[in-house]
Amino acid sequence: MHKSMKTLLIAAASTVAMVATTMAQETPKTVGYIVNYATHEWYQNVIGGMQDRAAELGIELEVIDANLDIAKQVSAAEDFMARNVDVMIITPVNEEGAVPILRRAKAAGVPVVLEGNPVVGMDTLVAICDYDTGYNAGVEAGKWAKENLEGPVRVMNVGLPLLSATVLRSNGFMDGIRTEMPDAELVHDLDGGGNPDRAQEVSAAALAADSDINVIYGINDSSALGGLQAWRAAGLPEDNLLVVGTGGEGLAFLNEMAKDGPLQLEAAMFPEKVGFTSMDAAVAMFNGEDLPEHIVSPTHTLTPETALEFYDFDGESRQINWERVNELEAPDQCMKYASDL
Amino acid sequence: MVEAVRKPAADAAGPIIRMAGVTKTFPGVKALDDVSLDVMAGEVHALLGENGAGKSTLIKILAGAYRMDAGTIELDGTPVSFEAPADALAAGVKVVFQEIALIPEFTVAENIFMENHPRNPAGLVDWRTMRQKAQALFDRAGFALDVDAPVKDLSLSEQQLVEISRALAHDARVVVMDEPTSSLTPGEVEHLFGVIGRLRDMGIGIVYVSHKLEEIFAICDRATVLRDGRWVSTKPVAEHDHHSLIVDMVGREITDLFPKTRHQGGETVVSVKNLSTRNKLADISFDVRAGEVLGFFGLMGAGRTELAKAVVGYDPISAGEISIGGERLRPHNTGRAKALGIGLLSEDRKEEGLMLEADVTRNMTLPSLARFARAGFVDAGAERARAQTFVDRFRIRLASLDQPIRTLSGGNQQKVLLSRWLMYGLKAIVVDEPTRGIDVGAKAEIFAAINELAAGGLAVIMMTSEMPELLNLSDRIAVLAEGRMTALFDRDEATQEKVLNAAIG
Amino acid sequence: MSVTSDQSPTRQARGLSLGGLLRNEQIFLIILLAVLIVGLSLAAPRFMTAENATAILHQSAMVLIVAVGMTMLLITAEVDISVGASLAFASCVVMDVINTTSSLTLGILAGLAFGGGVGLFNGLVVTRLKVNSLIATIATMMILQGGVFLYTREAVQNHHQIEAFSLIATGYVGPVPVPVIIAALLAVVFYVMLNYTLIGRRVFAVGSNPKAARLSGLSPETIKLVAFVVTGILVGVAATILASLLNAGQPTAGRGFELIVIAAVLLGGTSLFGGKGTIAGTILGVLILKIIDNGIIILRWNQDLQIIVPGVVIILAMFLDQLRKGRTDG
Repeated sequence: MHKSMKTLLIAAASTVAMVATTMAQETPKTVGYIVNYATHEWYQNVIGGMQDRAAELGIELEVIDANLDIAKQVSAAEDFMARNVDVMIITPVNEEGAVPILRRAKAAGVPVVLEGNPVVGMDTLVAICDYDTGYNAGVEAGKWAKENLEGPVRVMNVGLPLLSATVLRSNGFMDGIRTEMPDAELVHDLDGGGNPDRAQEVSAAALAADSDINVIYGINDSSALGGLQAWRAAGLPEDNLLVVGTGGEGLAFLNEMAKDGPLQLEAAMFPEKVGFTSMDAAVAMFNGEDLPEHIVSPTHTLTPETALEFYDFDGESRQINWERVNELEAPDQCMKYASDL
Repeated sequence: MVEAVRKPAADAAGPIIRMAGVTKTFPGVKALDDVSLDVMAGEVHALLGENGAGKSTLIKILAGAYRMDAGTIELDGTPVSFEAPADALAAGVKVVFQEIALIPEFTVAENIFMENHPRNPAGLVDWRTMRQKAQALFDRAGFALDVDAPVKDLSLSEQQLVEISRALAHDARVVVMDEPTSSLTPGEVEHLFGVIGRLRDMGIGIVYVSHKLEEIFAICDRATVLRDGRWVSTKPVAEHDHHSLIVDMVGREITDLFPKTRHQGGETVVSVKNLSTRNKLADISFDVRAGEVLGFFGLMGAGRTELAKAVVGYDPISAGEISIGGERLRPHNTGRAKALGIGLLSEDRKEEGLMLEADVTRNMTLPSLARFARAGFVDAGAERARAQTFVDRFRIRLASLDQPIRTLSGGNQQKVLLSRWLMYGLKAIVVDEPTRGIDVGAKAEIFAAINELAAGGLAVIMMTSEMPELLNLSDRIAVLAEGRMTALFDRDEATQEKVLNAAIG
Repeated sequence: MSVTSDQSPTRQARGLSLGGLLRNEQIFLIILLAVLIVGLSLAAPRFMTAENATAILHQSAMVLIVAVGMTMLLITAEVDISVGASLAFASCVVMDVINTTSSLTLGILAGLAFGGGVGLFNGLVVTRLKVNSLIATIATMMILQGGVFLYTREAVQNHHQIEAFSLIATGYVGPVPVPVIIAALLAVVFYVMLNYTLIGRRVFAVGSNPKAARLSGLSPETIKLVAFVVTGILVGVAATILASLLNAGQPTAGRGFELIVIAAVLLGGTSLFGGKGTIAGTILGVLILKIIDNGIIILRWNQDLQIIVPGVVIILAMFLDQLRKGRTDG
């Protein structure tokens, strides 16, 4: 974390103007974040972004990991309220379980910012737009295919039909790619379980049945790379293949992109920025500002070249380039929500 | 209820139970073929036969555990049908099996009334009445048992009495005892015979299943002999002698059960000095010479099996030395013992001897495997050929060397295990209860084999609780009592009385 | 005292038919396999292709590699539940060591050493501390699942980019994937070892009756320890393939792997109680489970069935097995 703090201070200097306006307001002294699952890379980077922003603003941030246990999340919230934190940020373990937390926090007068998933009775939520992320990546994929791929576009979607968020991404991708390549066909629509071993196994079976595809879309990086590894294990040539990953939460996509192989597009969701935005939302809530119900955290489709604008990558670790990320603009509203499915 | 039992059945001359024409077939085997058995009130009726003769099947049919394919069962002259154990129990037939089926955590009284707890008006278990009834039962039968003791604290023979009490609590009229003395000490056997006498006086018919002919002559009135699933004879015991019973059971003459050979002692092979173990044996010393059979006698718990296992390196020792052929057994493990040339033929074939699923060859060659291996690969042909020579030598009855050993009879299994060590070629062998659970015909062959071993120059250490075996096979006799060696006799000076006196300690 | 010890001539016929029965056990699996293949071919025309057959073998390879070791371990009457957790941890170790040393050989050796080390630990706990192996290896599984996150929070990425490394899982010799060749070689080695060598016979002896084995001068502890270590080393082999296949060391991989391995071995007729088992049966067991997996994917059934169906298949297989035995043994 120390390294990132240093980089951050430099980054902070460049955002003096922004910091200054925030500093003019009152800032909360303590913010408590209850993460649902801290061992995941995504959340580690969310926490990292949150810590960066908190240090910048001089806020004391404390993180508790619910480790996918709703009971633990409830007791963590009680703990924070008992210790009078100024604002809580919560990534709910599940939506039903978080409802009573919100009710009690309201009663105790502790404002709550939700991250990730909406909950009934919430004030504000910080989240990316899943559909838009997939859609934009689809548009870029369509453009890339037009230039680089031979033959009609045939897609293998390594998806996760269990979750509405990941279905939105897959739908967005197909809708996006069809704006450029109207004949794009979804050949395999798979359930890769969101993890690399299962994605690999499922993709291998699909490719054995029909390997005549030229685009692999993964709802996260594990799915995309699992699909790619299945392609490689089947001994198929990589010269007429485009792989599109989603999330960009860790090092895996940067590594693969560095090889300049088939992974040419990455629908990056910048978890660091989600953390950053959540912290800003917490400050705004503390000041009683009127916030929208959904604060969108920006996403962007990266190529091997632009990836290195957003991230400093030395092969072992990555550092977000705040200046570049903070330039991104997020829409006020998503094109589609889970309720539209 | 007391009256009901004491009073002989209305039709006093007829039997309580009469089984006739009983036939039972299992897939591939006719276990019983037209077998009859009748039990009178107040008689002790021996049921005899070699292993596999059909005794167990017959009593399981009587207990309602198996259903017969053909035949009739009459109770007081009325045909009945036992579909389930509960039917037999209701008709007054109770079987006391070898494996006692009591609940160890419950008290004696609870176990006795397991199926028929006395209840109070509220429908709850009436503990007071239950204890009183149990006590009354004991007083009547003359049992000295504590009704409140948990069954797990009782000895095996006391548990047997609890089982018999359960029969009495059900107003049983016929009690079947399946090898009741197999795990009892001589004192306990005496006591059991007293109990059987009292049951007889109460007018109960007893079916007594046993291998031990001495017991038959001591307590039984009549004997029914089965062979190969068929009825052979039913006669008053008074009309039998040892010889006639064995002929009925085996179907052929067995001339000498104990070949009387005197072995010439060679040089000392096994030397045990001041051997002690942590929880049983204390300061035991003895030597065994080549070609000699040293018999160890002791009552239950005297430490026979413990000594056998310590001498072959299986169980750890806490003090003393063991030497085989002049070399110390150190480190104290079975690998070293085998290398020095001593091995154990265990008393418990299933638990410690046989690989039940494996075939005859593999069971026989277990310790000698390395002999058949070249560069780590086992020469299966040589292995089988060697096994076949032992099958021939001991006339082991089998269909094929590939047959799973569990399909062999106890006697043939024992011969395979004996061959196991002969094939390896020991200097000394420890045999622990070598004839346990083996029928009369096979016993003679095992004895002959042991004699042959000694004649071939092996030092034989034999642990036994069977007096005839001990007195006839041993060249010298050592006696254990509570982990100590209390006497050492030459064959000529040993008598049953002297040995027993030393065993009581 | 039952009919099995009867000395009647009918028993001889039964002795022969029992020999036939042992062979039957595999015939039963072959029939099950054939039914699956025919059924799936009818249900999904794309099932019966060379590509799909290759894919199934590819997916079977890692499971089979560990399953042959597990067969040996189960024959000694022990079991190792920690193989899945060890697989994930070892795959991270392999990748990490190659990253650090840029040596493929050192990385693979580290993976084998890690797996073997876990096996040694399990073996020592079971044979020296006398902890039941089911419990001991569940404990090891917990230690490894937690421990891998102390070692690395994230997947260990491929920083070395050694070409040969990716060939371990994705390379082909002719039409045959490299992992399939590795698995086939190991299966042959273990088949020969269990059936024709001294050590194989001792493994069976120890599992059949440890007391009899000890009385015959063997050390059941040593043989069981060896079986644990060998199983662990095979986990290291599988971990190397996994790291290559996923092009990363995945600390979260391998969940449920132990269940598939043990299920395949049991389905193949190896007894949990020791003394009985065959490599041929294990190969059939792995293929059956992996074909079911593949069928579920190809038929686009709900993929949670991938774990449910094998569970049902195992219960069914065990039940049919008992029916068959019960009918013959009487």
